[in-house]
Amino acid sequence: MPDDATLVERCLQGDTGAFDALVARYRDRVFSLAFRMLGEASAAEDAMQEAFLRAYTRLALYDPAQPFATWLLCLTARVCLNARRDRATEQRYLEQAAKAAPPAPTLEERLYEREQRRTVQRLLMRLPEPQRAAMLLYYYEELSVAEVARALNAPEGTVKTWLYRGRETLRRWLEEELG
Amino acid sequence: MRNDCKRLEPALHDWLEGWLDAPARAAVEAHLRRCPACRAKLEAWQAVGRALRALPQLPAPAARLPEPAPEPRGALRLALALCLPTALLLVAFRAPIDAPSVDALKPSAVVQTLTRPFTAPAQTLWNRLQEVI
Ligand SMILES: [Zn+2]
Repeated sequence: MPDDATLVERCLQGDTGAFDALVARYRDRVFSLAFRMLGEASAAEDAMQEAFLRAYTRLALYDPAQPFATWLLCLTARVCLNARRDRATEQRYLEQAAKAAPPAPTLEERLYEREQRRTVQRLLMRLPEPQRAAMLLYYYEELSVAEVARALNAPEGTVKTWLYRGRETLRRWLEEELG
Repeated sequence: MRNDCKRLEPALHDWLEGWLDAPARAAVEAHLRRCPACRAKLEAWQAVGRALRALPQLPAPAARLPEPAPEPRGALRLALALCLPTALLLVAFRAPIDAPSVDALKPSAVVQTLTRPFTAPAQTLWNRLQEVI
């Protein structure tokens, strides 16, 4: 299996099949990060599609000095932050649609809901958004502070504060919940 | 001691992550040696970090939208895998004069486009294209 750098190179030379391989390699990871940030499978799926589309159209801007996975995950985090901003407007449309025909949850959605009930995920969703994004990129995806700062367009000091506050808040909530 | 702990808390977290320079590190370590409460907090923070790292990776759902019958290739296949250009194709077949707007690229708009019924001429064009390709 060719490595990421080779696939990116081939893709830039016009071999778009190479991008299919990158999608196959990273779709679960991109989806998982999006789900952890957005807390909902259908929103995470939209974000995943958007992230791959952006990655494809901006591939020429990718700097090979950085791992492809890092670049893609940072891009995914930004897509998720924007998705939540657009959400207030979409919410009304969705509410109307739901009234018209309440859709039965698919088996997949029920499984994700069960997953979502897990305490950590539920508490994560209660954190302020930048704290949650920073926590997920740093602890879950194991990006460096500098990489998280670039992804969230914030100074490194701010990211460190978000990580400290997010972690302390989660600790407090977890101790309250688990006695 | 309580006030000391509160004031030191951000530095304690920086210490845990290895972000402190030597003098600050020494100050935190001196406090840690005589403060069981802060040592307990460190342990709890480590548990939080482990819990986040242990969140399982989830399988991405299979593509939500159907692919059209002809075998697409290259960029088209990629695009179809991402679902968006399916809608663009349909938009093009339905209304060749209208260029797709930026809104048409939004996933929600894509779903709307796909669930809207074909107009009669577009339906015919779609059928003809299916015969040809
Ligand atoms: Zn203390």
